[in-house]
Amino acid sequence: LNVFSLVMLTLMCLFSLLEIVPLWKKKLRKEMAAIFSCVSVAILLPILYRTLKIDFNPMNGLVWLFRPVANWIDRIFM
Amino acid sequence: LPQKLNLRARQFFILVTLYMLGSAILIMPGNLAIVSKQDAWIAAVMVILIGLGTMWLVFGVYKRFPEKNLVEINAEVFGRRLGFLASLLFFILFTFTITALTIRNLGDFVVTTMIPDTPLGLITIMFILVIIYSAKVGFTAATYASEIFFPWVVIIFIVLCLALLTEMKLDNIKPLFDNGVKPIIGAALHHSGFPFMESVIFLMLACETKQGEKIGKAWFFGILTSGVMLTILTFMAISVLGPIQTNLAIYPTLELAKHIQIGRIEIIISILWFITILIRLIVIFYVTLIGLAQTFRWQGYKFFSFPLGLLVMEAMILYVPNSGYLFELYKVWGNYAFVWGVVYPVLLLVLPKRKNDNSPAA
Repeated sequence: LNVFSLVMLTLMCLFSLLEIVPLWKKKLRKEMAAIFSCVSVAILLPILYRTLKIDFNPMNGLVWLFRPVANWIDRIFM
Repeated sequence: LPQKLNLRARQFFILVTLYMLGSAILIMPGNLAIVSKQDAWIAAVMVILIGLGTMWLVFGVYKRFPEKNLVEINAEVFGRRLGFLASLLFFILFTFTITALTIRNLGDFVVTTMIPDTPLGLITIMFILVIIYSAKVGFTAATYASEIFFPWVVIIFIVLCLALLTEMKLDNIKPLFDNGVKPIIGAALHHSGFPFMESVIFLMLACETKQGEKIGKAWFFGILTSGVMLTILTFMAISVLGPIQTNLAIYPTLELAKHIQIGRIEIIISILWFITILIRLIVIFYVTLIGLAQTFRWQGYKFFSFPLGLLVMEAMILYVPNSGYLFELYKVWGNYAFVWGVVYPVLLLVLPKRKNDNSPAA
């Protein structure tokens, strides 16, 4: 992430939080919780990845799971 | 939740066509040529057949539940709790992932080919803002936009084909079936998942049409038109560039456009890709948005556009650490899409309906 992306992400977080105002007036708690959890994930994820140096990519799981099938198709048809 | 969209069959046809063309128009010829070489265009024809088969399967689900969208169908087939889980998994693991991967693909394409010094974040965020805006103003606006853009897509496609007619060398596609039929079938099986096994997402839109009886035809011709356009592009890529260059090029259709000897016309031709990918993004983002809103029984969905855009932005960076990894993902995507695009609709078709309808939308 460069500085520009960080600025844009911060702005998007702010815009997301602004959405809470009308929901607050209508007392829509579930919806507010959804926004809060999304913004929290969006803020915490890069911080956790940087500080704890986590190298976890959910897509690796997908590759790990489906690669054998792809290899099997390759063996049959290639 | 949103009022009924009242999509017309023609609008549905255009949405299906543009959705299927988006992204695939850039990478499909190259992906098919990796294995099937000069027979890639035959593999593309097989991909259409697989796509039509998948569409027929999903259309069967639509005919079984014509008035219901996917979230309601899940609740009716799997019951309240399992249906909730199925919807959640579908929208997070499938449609959300497609959104993140598509936007990453578009960003990579722009950075690699047009403005290499510009940060990827800047380009993708602009597209994310556009799709957020389109979700905010409502999906009807996007369908009208797609109606306006569709003739442009067809015109630019025809111009591209006509301009390249003189560059075609039919020797490049010979000999036919040089490596046998097996590699062609293998390539078609690998690459039919993207995009033709994504038909299932249209179950969220098919129930929003006001000409229900014409929807099957619109769906069928949408898949067929996009498939034929992709096959023509693959044929042209092979016959103009040759199988080796088509295989080596990251974006073979861009290389094709570069063969037209009129200034930097490939940038004008790029409009074709921008329009199709943008419509694809708008559709998949909207489907994810209303899908999640209905699954969690939120009042409305527009308030979630910015938070979802934010998550898409992060997922795009997290899921694909570098552009090479995206091509690694394409190799397994077909098998993954098979689970959601074929196995899941089969379950929706075969499993009996529950008597107590506790649909989340009720």
